[in-house]
Amino acid sequence: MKKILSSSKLIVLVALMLSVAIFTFGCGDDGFSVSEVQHDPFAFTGEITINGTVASFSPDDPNLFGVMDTNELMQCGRFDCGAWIMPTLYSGGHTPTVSQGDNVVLTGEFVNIGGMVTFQVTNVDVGNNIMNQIPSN
Amino acid sequence: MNTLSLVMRNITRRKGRFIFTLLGIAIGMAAFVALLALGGGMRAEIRNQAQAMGANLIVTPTDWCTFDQISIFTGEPLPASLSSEVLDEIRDIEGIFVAPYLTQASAIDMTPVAVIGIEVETMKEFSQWEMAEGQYFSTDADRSVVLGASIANQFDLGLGQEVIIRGESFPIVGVLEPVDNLDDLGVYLPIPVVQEAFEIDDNISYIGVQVENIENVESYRAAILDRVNVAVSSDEQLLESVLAILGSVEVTLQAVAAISLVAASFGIVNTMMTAIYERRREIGILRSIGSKRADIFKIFMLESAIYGLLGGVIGSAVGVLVSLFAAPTIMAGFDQIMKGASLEASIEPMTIVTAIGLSIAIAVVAGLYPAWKASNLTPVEAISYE
Repeated sequence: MKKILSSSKLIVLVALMLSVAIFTFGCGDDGFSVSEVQHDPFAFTGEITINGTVASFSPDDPNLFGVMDTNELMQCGRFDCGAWIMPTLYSGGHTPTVSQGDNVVLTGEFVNIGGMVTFQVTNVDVGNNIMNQIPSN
Repeated sequence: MNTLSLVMRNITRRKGRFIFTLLGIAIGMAAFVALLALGGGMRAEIRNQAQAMGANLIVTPTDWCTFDQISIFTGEPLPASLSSEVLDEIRDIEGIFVAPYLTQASAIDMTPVAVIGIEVETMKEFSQWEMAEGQYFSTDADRSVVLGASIANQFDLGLGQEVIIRGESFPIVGVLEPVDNLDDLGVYLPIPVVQEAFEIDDNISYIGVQVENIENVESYRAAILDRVNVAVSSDEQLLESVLAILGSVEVTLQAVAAISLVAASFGIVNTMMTAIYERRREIGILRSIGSKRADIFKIFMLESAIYGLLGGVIGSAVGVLVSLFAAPTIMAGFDQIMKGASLEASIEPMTIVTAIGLSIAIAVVAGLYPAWKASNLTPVEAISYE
């Protein structure tokens, strides 16, 4: 009986440690940030993942929106502080439902459309909306 | 049997409860100590990086936000909005030596790298670089790259190979000697070449200024501001901006660790209250053979203090070990923020002493209520309890 009790305590301890380890190290990789790719987009070839925050929308194309670097947005406090807004074109079939301030993880590749560098995405993972967290809001 | 041996026997009577209560304090304390040690290490390394830059003053555009200013120390690419006219105006001031920088970015093997435009002759003198391989640039028109030591090592690049930037190939003509700071992580080209590759007009990102007489740095700052409409910060001011951000992060993390200590203290309260119920007869017997209320109070307070002492010692030891062995792993993240930095835990003896003292103090406070409850039990109450 004593041995079983000792084993159960050991199991609890190991489970606790594993939980902490998984929580700490088990979070997924969200790819590149917008600021990492903005200066030389075509140096990143093939399908890549980019994370950022939705900043703006095209008035003419519901599948075209602009994504800003999240850290830069939080530091500058507004969408129009002169930071690069990455043109993002969704080509996955149905128009994604995103709002300004949504954190997004985009999967796609850089293409040249009409002389403009555009990130053509096939998948959009929408995270939390950070409008309330932006300092100037 | 003296008081201490009585206390130790009582604490360890139920080993499982003893271990889990101790773990609560130890884990909270380990987190607290590890955060203090790593935070100290980060501060020391940030200061090191700032000193390595070699500039007494940094000239930036007036419309930069804090994010941009701090990016000077973190190796991030920066807007190019300082004109060459501004550079020429500042260069005319006597008693200063200026080095312009144009910081952009590209990628090698799908990994972001810093591309830094430099003034060839100026930078050689400003940074006192030495070549590990190959040669330095000859002129500002050279369409070639010189690599920082870490970049060359990371991507296994050397003389005779090429780097592709914005679709154009640039041959590698030299590799710098390692200097253990941000300079190790740069892909260097002459400013005009970077301006052409990135389609930037005749602009630069910022200017580093060395002054002849460090005592008069404020007068040089005023002289620059008299001539051009720019922001001029001392390296100390920029450093304080970075440290302020680090400080707020540190405070937040330490608050989290402190909350876990508070939670652990409730564990002590719970353990001690349970012990009182289990040992009512023992308390009653002690009172009936002459122990005073103060003696009972002292016994339970001592039990709490020992939880705090043991938890503090174990937690501090674990915290030190975590910070020593986790520093390289955490450095991978710190290196993303402060490129070229190396992180070592900074462990002061006073930190350990303070941590153990804090642990004992928290445990003693946690033990006050249970000790008071125990000391208020009358012998009749205690012995008659079944």
